Amino acid sequence: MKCEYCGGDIALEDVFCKHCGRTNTFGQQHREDMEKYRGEFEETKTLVKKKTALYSRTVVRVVVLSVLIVASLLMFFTGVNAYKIVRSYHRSEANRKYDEYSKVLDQYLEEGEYHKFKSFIEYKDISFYDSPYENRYRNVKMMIDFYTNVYDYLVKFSINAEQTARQAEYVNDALDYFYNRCIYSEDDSLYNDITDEEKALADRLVANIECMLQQFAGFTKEEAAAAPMMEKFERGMLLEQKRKEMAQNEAE
Amino acid sequence: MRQNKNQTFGSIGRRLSQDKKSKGLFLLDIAIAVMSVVTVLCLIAMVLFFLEEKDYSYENYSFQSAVMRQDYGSVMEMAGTNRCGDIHVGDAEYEEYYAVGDYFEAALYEKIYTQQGEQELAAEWAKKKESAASRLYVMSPEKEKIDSILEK
Repeated sequence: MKCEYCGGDIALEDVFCKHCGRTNTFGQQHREDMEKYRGEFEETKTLVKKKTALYSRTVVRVVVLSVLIVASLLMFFTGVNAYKIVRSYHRSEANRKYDEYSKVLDQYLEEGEYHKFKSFIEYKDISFYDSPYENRYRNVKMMIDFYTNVYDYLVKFSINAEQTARQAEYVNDALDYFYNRCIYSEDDSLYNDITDEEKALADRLVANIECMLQQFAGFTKEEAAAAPMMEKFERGMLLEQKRKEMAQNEAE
Repeated sequence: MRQNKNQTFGSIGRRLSQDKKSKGLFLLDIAIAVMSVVTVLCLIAMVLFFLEEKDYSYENYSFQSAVMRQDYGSVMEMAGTNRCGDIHVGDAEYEEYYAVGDYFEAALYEKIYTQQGEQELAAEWAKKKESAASRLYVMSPEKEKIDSILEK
């Protein structure tokens, strides 16, 4: 730049002109301006740092809070669905262990341990749909389910404290399901779907229920033999009659 | 004077604004503390739900109640369920309950197969009945009760 007094070349930062020695007023103004801008810059920098620190703290807290909320929700819904998750795991385990479990099931069937057969299936959550167990055990499982229901209701029917009209109804409903599943005629559309082994099992179960009706419901041999062929209401009336007789005998 | 007033208001405003921000942070901290407790509780609840579902079983009060009601069918079923999970197997008290269930089942099937003329099957169940009877000590009176029920 040029000195404002003598016109000589001087630098903007020079305090005095090196030619005439006078004060470089522009340089002075420049220095003052630079000081001011430097001060404002430092102030702004400090303010930005403070605000950034504050925002960082806020952002971190918000992130932590969000993670905690999401984790809580995930754990809550997982816990609420624990039943489905565990059952699903058991089912896939049962499919993996088909060879081992089927040996156990076959042994129970051979020994006539029908309750243990049912308990094992329920405990291990063995599924009979789209599984290796379907073809071999589905019909058997259904028959045994209905059989054990009848067995359980008949035992309760015979217990003194539980002789109520409702028990007779439960027994009758259970018998109805059982006979529909286990009594087949050649006209039945399902007849050809059952194997000879399953037919033999069905006959065995029907014969057992006949004995249990005599033992626990006071049926005569003829009534028990006729029970599968009775209409549901007819069987219901007979059960109610037997219940009253048993209650009367207990009272005496 | 005006400049001083502006400076004063400016600094108060900044302080208030800083106080607001501190309050906000404080509230966030409180929320985080509360959510941490909630998360831990959810974790505990989840673990408990899974433990409960993993192995379901019957305890001695269920067996006691069934035996008192002479509901031996239920005793037999509960024993079967527990045995599937190897639960309380070897525990003397539970083994007696399991033996009661076994005895009832064996005695009933022995009678059923005898009635049906299936001597071989009846003999097999008679053996099971004897085995179950040999495992009854404190509960041996239940044997007589079961026999009297099945004799009716």
